[in-house]
Amino acid sequence: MSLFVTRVVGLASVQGLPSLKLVRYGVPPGGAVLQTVLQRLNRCLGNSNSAAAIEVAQGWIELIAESSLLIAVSGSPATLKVNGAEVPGDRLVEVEVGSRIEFGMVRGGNFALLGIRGGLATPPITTPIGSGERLFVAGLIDTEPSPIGEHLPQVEEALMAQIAGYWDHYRNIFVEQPVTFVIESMSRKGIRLSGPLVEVDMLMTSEPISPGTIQAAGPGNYLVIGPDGPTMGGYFKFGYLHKKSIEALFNYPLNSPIRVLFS
Amino acid sequence: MTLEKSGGSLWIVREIAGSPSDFAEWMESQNVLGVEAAVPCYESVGLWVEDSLFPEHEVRQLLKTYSGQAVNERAQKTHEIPCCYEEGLDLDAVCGILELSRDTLIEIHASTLYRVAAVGFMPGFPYLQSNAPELSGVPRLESPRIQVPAGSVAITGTQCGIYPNISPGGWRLIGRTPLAIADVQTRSFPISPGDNVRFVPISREEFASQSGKLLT
Repeated sequence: MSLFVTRVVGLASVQGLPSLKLVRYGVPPGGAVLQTVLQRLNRCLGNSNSAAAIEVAQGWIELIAESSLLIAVSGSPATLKVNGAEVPGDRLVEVEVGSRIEFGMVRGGNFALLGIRGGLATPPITTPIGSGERLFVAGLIDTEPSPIGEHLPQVEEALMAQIAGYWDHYRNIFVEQPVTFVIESMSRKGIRLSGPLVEVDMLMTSEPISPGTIQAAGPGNYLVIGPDGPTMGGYFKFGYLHKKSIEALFNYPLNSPIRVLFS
Repeated sequence: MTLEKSGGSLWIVREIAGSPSDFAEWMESQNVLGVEAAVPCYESVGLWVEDSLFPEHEVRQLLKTYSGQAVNERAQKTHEIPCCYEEGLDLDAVCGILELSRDTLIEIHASTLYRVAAVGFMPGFPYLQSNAPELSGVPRLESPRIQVPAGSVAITGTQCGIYPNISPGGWRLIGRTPLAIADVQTRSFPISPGDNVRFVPISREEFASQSGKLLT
């Protein structure tokens, strides 16, 4: 049972759940950006929680089914076509051998998943640059601006984060009310945010960092580490996002203002 | 020692008695349910955990029993890394910053024994520590390079490192090794925390002839 990849535009990759097996050597944990969505998709397909699926971001992928398949999609709204005909994304879809599957053009978010019953085999480990070569794929998605005229959703709820212990002296500034940041760019390696101007000591000794870590990279510049991001870093560690907030953040459009409530 | 949550799957241990790499090895030998990896860095150790299983209280108690002991008397492995200083894109600039001649800088760098404090940032990237005050104090580039050549040997502050692959980077490049120091596809990571590294100067011709060989 397999899928033959005929075209990829943007970023598409095979992702399961994160793996910590080689993190001691600096190999990032990787895994689907939307882990809870992947698990939900797998439940729909009758797969194990960790079964891998195709993750598409800001682009699309075209495939040929080399056997009969049962597929389903999840994540941000995206277009799914089988043999040129659009298929609703809210149900299991039977695909016959030889069928052409097109999936992508994610809307209202950044990441969507296409799963198959039984799951996809994943490469044993990620590569040095993370998502770029992990799979069959193309390009990264840094710095793509939102299309002009796109309606940016109003953020209803603040994301939840924990401020790092040694930032106690900033606690009064950051924990009284939600702090607003703006998403400048995004890739599977991480998200660049602009935010409050705070003087930071740039000479922090490097130490381990993980997906969701918020680093202060300079006055007004912040980084949130993604699944394929570095495992160590020397920028000042500002705090970290709670797990659900990481997924939410990765699904906001670029240039979105986001509010983060620190505790 | 202190234990601080630092993300959904990461806790940081600080103020460690003894060396972080010894502590990391000891921690892994305890086989604590939910602790997937203990990763040493300069002054801390990252505990990568399965959050739902991590027994915080048990680990806090366990930390109190550690007094700096190593698990085993580990054989000190020293890697000899050939380095072509002529390939160092920032060599002259670094000589200027440190007010050293090329020959002197190369002599000091190649005679220094570096200790691997950590492996991270990118797969196989060794963070190297030394006691070579003559080479310390080099600032990062004001604007990081978008592409650092694979094998580049770089310094900044009191640190030295080797970029295993092409990558963005802000450290100053003083040389380049022809060896592949890590291979992700075959899971080959010969350099581990606690090892030593010594650089051996080579010519451009030797660089070309050894290009792409895997460090063993």
